[in-house]
Amino acid sequence: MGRYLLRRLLQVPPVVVGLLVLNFTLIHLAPGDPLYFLVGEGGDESYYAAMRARLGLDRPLPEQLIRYLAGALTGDLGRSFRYNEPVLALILGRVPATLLLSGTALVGSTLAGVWVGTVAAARPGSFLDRAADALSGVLAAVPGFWLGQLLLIVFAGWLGLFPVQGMVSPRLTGGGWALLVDVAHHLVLPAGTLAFLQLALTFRLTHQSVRETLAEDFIRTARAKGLPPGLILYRHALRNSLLPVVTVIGGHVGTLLAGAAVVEVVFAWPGLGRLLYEAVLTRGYPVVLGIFLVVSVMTVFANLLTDLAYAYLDPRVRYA
Amino acid sequence: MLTWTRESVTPKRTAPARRPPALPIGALGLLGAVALLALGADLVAPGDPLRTVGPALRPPGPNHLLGTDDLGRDLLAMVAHGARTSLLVGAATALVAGAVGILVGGISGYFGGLVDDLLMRLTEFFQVTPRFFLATLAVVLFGPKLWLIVGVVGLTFWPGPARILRSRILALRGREFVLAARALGAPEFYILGRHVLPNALGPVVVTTALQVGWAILTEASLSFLGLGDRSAPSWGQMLSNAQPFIRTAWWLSVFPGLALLATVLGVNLLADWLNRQLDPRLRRADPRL
Repeated sequence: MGRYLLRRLLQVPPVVVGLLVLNFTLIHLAPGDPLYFLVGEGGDESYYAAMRARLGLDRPLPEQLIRYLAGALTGDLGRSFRYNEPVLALILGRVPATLLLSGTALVGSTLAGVWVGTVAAARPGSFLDRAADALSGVLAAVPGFWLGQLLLIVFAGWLGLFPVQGMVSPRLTGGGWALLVDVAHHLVLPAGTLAFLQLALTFRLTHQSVRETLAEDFIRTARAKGLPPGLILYRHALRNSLLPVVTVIGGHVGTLLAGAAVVEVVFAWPGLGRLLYEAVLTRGYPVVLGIFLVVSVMTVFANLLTDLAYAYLDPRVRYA
Repeated sequence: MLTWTRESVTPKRTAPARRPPALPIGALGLLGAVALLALGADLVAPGDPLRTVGPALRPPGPNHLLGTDDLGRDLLAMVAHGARTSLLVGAATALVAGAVGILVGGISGYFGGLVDDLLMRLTEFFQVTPRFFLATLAVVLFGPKLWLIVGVVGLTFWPGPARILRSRILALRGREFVLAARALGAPEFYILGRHVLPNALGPVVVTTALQVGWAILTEASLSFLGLGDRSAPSWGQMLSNAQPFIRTAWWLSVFPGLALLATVLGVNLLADWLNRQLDPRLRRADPRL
């Protein structure tokens, strides 16, 4: 395990450097002065002159790249004029809200998707099997932000069951328990939206995987032994079906975060997506660049964790 | 190469034999309706769909079947013209992703060695980068023009087709008919184009078709974030404009979203059907590869 871990960890730095080189290339290919992309709009002449010299934009490209890499790798992603804060601190401040939203959605959709997928796979052709299959097909085609809007219209607008926007009520006093309940109340609709989107993937994967496992020899043996069907399904079939499900879900963290981004805009959830939206509207180039970088690093680490979990659970991977 | 799989000797108890998949009437119906809407947009709503035609924020009624938006524009006209944008984006993106994927996957699979190694590292790199955020970044830097959005989204989708094609070519490369062509002195590019590619393209077409729906949704998401082309009416932009009126004017959100859903569902069902035609084991390919 140690050697696999080391080998896998060593693959991370080249990817991060690759991402920075990609950023740098895009900045220089795009029409316009790279200075504004790196520093943002809103400064005065003397500031721009000073930054141009500091970033070495009058130097040859390779030197600029090295300066850019050195800056970014030490956490300097520029400064946001609009928020008057370093870009990295600004972005990292929004990460917890996004993690809360996408984490809740991931847990909810995984539990529900695995359960429905397993039950449906055990009864091929049943009503549940067909209904879940059809529903997952529709869900895979639903635009996330639209689903969010519909849920808003019905549950927050017409029924008035949930708050329309934000993460915390503006007039909330006191913390602790009251705060927790308030955040949970705000979380239901956005997390529900995101969970529904994710559900299609989880259901299909589990359904497929359990069906394949149920066709294996050891399941026949278990049946021949006379084990109860429930035990065979959950103890034997499901356990052996979960590995591919976990891997694929882990590999789709980028999709999950992209879904979270648009859902955050619909519900004014104060996370990365909302920040990205504000930055796009105000042309806060350094913030957009920074969010791409931070989200990419998050997905790289999610993939790493998934691979390590897989290697831990399935020894064949480690020695391959 | 002979492969032995467990399924070939174990009777499948859990998977009953299904009827052979019929022509996907639902998919063709949905897509046909959207295509009719796109083709007939000028008949349904002649003139510029983005001009003001009536009072603002009217609910659906006899004058404006789907209502009007906050600027008094007719929703039906915008939905109809938006169909053109979405279909164009879906088709063009698939072409870009397919072309780049075939080029990279073809070279990588056929020539192997160092070229293959480098191209595959590049492919893996683009597979781990979150494509939606990359597309957002590129459109922010280069400006929201429709052809650029198509190019950028297409370029984020090529790793799927590239990897599938590569693995197909690896399987075909050592087959007798390829060796025979080489023994007869055919040039490498001729063998690749004439003998290998035609036999490897099926799964690539399916993968690309499965990506069309994702491409349409990605463009809609970009438009929703305010990164759509302002000169072309698009469903994503309409949904973005609907956001401030979500509690007062439900129709602004419901109709463009339904159109989007119908299109993507139609495309996905058709791609699924193609997939089933090609793969006797009815295995669903993952559209997000």
